[in-house]
Amino acid sequence: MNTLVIGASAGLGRAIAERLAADGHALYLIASDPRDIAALVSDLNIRFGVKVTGESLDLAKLDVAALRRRVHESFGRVENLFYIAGVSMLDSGPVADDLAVRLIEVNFTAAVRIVNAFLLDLKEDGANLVGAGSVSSSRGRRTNSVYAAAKSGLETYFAAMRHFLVGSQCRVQFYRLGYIDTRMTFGQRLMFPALKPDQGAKVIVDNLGRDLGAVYLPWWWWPITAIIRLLPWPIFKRLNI
Amino acid sequence: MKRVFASLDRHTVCECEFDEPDRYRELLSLTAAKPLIGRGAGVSYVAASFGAGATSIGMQRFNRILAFSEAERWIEVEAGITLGRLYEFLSGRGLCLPVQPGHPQITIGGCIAGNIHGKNQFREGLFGDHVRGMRLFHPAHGLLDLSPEHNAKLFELTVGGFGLTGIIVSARLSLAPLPSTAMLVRHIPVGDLVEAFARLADLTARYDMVYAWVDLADRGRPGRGYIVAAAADPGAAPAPAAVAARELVPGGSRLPRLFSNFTLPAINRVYRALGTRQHGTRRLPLDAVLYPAVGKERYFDAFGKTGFIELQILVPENAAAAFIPRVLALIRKHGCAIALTTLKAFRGKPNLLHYTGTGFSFTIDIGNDAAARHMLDEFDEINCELGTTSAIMKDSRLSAAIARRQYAGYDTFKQRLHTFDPVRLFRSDLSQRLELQAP
Repeated sequence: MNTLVIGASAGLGRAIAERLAADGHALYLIASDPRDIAALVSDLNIRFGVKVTGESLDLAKLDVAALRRRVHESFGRVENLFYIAGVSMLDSGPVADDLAVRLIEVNFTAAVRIVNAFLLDLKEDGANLVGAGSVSSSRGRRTNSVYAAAKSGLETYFAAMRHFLVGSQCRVQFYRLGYIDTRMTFGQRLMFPALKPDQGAKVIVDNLGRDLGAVYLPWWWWPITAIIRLLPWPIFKRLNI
Repeated sequence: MKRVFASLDRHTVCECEFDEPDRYRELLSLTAAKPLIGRGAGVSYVAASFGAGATSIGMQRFNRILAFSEAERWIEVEAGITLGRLYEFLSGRGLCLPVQPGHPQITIGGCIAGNIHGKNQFREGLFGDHVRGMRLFHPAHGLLDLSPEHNAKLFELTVGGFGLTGIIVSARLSLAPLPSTAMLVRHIPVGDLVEAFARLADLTARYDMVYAWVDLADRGRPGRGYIVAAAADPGAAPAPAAVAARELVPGGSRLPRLFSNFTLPAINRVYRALGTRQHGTRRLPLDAVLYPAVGKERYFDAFGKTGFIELQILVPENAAAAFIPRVLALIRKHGCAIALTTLKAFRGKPNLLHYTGTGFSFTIDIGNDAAARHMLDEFDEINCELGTTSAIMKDSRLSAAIARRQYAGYDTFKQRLHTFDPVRLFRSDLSQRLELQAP
């Protein structure tokens, strides 16, 4: 299958690309750093013998029409689209304008624009649209405010796409990710254990073809976020989370 | 972030700063503001990948294959790739790394930095002999391409340089044809150390891998044991193979000490009996011979919380006759039970701080206590007298004074290191102990 992975250079995106290559997918990988993407393309090509193309791209400065053209020239119709890219920082209160723009661009706007560009591809039979959100968007908090809002918007957009694609054979899977053992969480004191990228990638790739909608990964974040959502405001406002 | 690191022998435990980049922009933006040291799997016997005041840079996320030529028999990999992952890839293609240490968890960066050897040193030399080139990162010098032809002096200094010239980012390695993924293995009993040394030298001509296990915990007749001699099975074609190994976790055990002067004679007697009872030729998977530490990962826990000391010394060919009675007398005098004693045949020319030469590599593991350290201090003197050299990557207690006496290249290594990096940005507990930091 022809699979486009956005955000493939490290962490969960890289682990997903490895799993897909092992399963024989032809891959078009996008990440921000040309050195990382070149190394990954070589590795997957050599180890799995699949066709892998890579491109470094700043998602905040996107020319989607040109990207669509390059991808189609490379391997034709996109059958699976993974949007795993994300940037995060503990933004709280006013953040620098350029940072706020970047958080919104990478976590939301670029995703919408790329999915939109390949939507007609995905309406064909047997396609999958996979997105990565965050448990942080379960309720607005003072920390991660812009990031969580962008991810919340992304989840809404994926829900809309799932609705739009009803009647087609495209399956939509959106993951509300908990802690993943990547640079995002490195060195942080976490309240809950972090999932290894490869474990997360296995679940995500195994779920291809399933009409899941939005789910938690790992699943046990569901009761945690449910409690946070149900906390009465007089209590919630006192929490430093 | 802070992390507590321990050497595999548990001799050194230290809380250090740790960083683990997973993108090139993070790795290559490391600055010279504070001391650094690269870290692969972190399973060295000695504290080579951490040290007080230094930030360890974990390289395990840089583990990709960058280029590969089956026809020309070379592979280029990032330094964090493990031997096991490479073995899995290469075995199916009928190729292998010519030199491999005892556990598949070890990374290529670690193999280069330690310039390690395998069980076929007499035939294939050291790991560094098969490195065609590498990329090294030093914040003050940037990314450097090194090979025997280009930046040759720095290449020579980095191979077996204990990570002190910078972070090894990637390397191009020569490969050897893999004749088979099975080995025909014989255990040949030996009655004493003299016989073990003599038979070992003979067998190297006929076998691909040869090493001896002898029992020095037996106070009555020390030196009995067996030689493991293995040759590729021509009947088994190369096939894809994976290594199922348990993780080595330095400092991970809280078990009480099982290996003591009281228990070891009995334990070794049983182990020796099992080894010598195996008659004839057995067919074993290659990885079982290549990585003898696989399946024995908990062996290191049996020394308890205080750990052990591994003394590995290279006995020159012409000193073996004088060495054997001296070492037996020393062990008898101190009464320390030796858990493991192995012998390997070596061929090579000494250079800088590389553990090589022509003779025999003699290794003992002994519980880390005052009596053992006292015995080993005396051992050091015998070694200096007989012209043997101690493996720096094995012995956590080796002092700068002894290293200087044993290695003719000690001063040259240090001087070249200081010429390349006068600030001495890369440092570890090992480099501090061996006084490689000081001008």
